[in-house]
Amino acid sequence: MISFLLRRLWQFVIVVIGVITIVFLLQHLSGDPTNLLLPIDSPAEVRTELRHQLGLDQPLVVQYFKFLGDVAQGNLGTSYRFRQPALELVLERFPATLLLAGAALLLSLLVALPLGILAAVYRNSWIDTLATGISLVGQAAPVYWIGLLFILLFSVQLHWLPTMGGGSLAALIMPATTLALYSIARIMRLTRSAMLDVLHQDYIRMARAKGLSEPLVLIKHALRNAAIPIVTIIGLQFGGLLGGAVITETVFAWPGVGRLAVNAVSQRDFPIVQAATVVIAVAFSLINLVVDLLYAFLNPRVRLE
Amino acid sequence: MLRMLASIDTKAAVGFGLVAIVALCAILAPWISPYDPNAQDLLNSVAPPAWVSHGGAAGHLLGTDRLGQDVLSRIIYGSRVSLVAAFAAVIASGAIGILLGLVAGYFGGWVATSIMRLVDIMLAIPFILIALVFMTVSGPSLTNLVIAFAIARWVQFTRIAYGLVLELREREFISACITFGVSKFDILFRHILINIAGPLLVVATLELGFVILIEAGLSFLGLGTPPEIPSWGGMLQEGRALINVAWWLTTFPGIAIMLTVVGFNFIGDWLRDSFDPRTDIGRSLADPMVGSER
Repeated sequence: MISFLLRRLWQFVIVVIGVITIVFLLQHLSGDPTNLLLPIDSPAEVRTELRHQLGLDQPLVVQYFKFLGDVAQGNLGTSYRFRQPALELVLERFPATLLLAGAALLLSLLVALPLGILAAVYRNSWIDTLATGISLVGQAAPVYWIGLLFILLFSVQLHWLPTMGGGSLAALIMPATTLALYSIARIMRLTRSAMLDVLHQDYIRMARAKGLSEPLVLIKHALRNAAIPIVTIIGLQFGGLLGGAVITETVFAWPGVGRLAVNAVSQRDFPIVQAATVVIAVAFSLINLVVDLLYAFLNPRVRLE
Repeated sequence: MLRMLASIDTKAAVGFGLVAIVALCAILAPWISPYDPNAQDLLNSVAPPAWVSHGGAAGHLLGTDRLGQDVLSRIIYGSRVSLVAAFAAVIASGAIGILLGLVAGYFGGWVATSIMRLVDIMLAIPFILIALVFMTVSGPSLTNLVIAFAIARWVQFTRIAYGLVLELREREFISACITFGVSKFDILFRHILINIAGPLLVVATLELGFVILIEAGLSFLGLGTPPEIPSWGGMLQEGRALINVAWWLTTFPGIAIMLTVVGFNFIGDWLRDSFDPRTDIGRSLADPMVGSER
């Protein structure tokens, strides 16, 4: 177990360094960063001067290691607009994003797991049809559009919920539901098929033959064995939710990292976009790490591979 | 091929039908759209659809937007952006991804380790953020959008291609090729690629739907195509500003996006079922979108 843990931690470190490298490359391969800072018609001398100030006239490798060193010290640049450290600004808003993604994940599990199990147990019944319908819409409808329809219905027509902003439980309902829809579709589909696989196994027949009650058979014998793929996809979905939050936050003006990043794009405030990407990617890798460890705990065979 | 055509079920037929309608709209846009999509008619701005009992604007089946532009015409023209972006992005990311998957699977060793490690890293960054970073630096345009997709989405193809090649590499006919001195290039492209083309087509089809969804999302955020080119995501962005007064501006472009994506997903599902799900190939495809996000 210890060696598995160490190996997995090492992989995590590699992924984090990789993410930072990719952000660095994207910044440098897609044009001259001084374009972001200066008006298009600024004279060449000013441009050269700025390049020198920012160290952009040094070899790429030198710049790269300087960048790595900065990031290791928690320095991801200063926001052009706010004149504050970008990382600080992003971390300030990170709890709001985490709250939104967490609420969406909780909601997905509450809806998707029971519905997926029921759809598998009562295959081809109306529950199964309902589940299929939800997963169809959830996977094909754009989240931002569903969000707009929610606003149209619950805010504009019915005046039940506030259109935007954070802070209250009521304000969380619509963004979390919107964001959850896609995960509900994915987790439900997978739960259904994993349960269908398991329900045909001999040990389920055996459990029933022993006279165990049906809920006990389903939860203790079937769900526990179907859990491994489900846990994996839940981890992946949480990362997806962090990414999906970028658009959802914009629709509902939710004060999180995503909205900060999108606004920063339109103001060409690169350090903010960069810090947001690194923070979310690191959070996502961290979640994957936890999922993998959980996975190893659930399935002892994984540890030995 | 004939066997596959014979296996088309209702779902697949609906999928093909939907995609055909969108494709026809894109190709025939100048002839079938009732108005020029950019023609402004300020006297008729934000007019509800013609069939709405209160104040529906005659001649505008789906109403008009803030500048009095016909919503139906803009939806018809918008299909062009969606399809062009989707096909260009999938061809670009597919070419990169399949090549890397072939190379990693066939050569193994440190080549495979480095390529697959890169895949892990790319999968750790939500796609939308890669697009944000890239678009901030290079500016929003359709070309940059396609490049952003190519940079980020190749991993989906590499993952599947790699697994398939690993499995094929051990088969007798490949060993036979090696024994007979067939060149590596020929083995990779004439023997292996052809045998994994089917499953890769499934990935490509599902990716088409995904790209359409995300392209519209980026245009919605103002990071896609410029406003003078009608696009579904751009229309939604405009609709959002007028959501209190004009429901039709948000409703119809969204329906267009959803139906197109449903079309591609149905075709993808059908293709996937056509490859026997009990084989390893079928199983590795069972959930090709795992790890992708929106």
